[in-house]
Amino acid sequence: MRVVVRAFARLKEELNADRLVLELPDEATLEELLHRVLGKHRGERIMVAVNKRLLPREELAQVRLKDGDVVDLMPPASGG
Amino acid sequence: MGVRAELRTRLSPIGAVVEELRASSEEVGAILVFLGVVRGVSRGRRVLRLEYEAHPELAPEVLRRLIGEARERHGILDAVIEHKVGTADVGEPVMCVAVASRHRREGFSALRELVERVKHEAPIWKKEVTEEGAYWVEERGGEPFIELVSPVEVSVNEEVSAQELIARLGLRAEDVRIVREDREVESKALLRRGDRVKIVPARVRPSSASSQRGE
Repeated sequence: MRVVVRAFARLKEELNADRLVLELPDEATLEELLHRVLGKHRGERIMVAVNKRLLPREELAQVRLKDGDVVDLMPPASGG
Repeated sequence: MGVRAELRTRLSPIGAVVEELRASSEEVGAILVFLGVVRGVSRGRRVLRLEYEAHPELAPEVLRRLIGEARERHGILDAVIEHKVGTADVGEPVMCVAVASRHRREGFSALRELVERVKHEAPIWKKEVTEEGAYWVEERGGEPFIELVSPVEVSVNEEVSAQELIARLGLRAEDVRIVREDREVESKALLRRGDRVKIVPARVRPSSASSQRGE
């Protein structure tokens, strides 16, 4: 299946792309995607949205992705 | 009653926001406004400008949710949040949080809470462009990314200021000191390629860093 990843702010610069299209095995989890995209940054407290729904931290480990999902990866908020 | 939460390239004049809230209901008895502006000095560095980026759909949605929750929790009547996106010069207003309430008490509580929550929960990010370089500003919930428990020696392989080296390692400036040839280095000092420096936990004095390892 194919999943679109969008990166914002610092993550966009670190990944050197604001948009990636990933080919993942069916039933892949969000965890697997984070591991693949972020690698060593995995421990970071990033914000994640799937299809523009911001996910509570405790839900991150349970999410299964499906074809066509759009996953937004965002650094911790620093507005104001 | 309405709720307005917007990302803007330029904030509305504060008078217009106050008027909007004043006219929103006859029940209004207090209007409180917080206006954040770009500081010219940040952590000892001269700031040239800030660059704001936000998630275009999620940021307004989160801001609206925060206003809704403030209404439920504090009983305020109405609120407006405007947040800057794009490049902001020193002195420029970048965040406006305004609250209309029946009485001052719930207005103050709601305003304080809203300002904090906007800064920590809305998907909005700022990059500080200073005379020494540009940095994404990020708070890690007040906790350093890693904690240094004993001195480490590092070899510098590209020119970098002491404070930037500390930041890149995910450490907090106040938690560590940098020592080069047995002398403490100022945070603004430039480290050169090939420099060997020791990063020492702040609670260990630099002059005796090596002998106190096992303290």
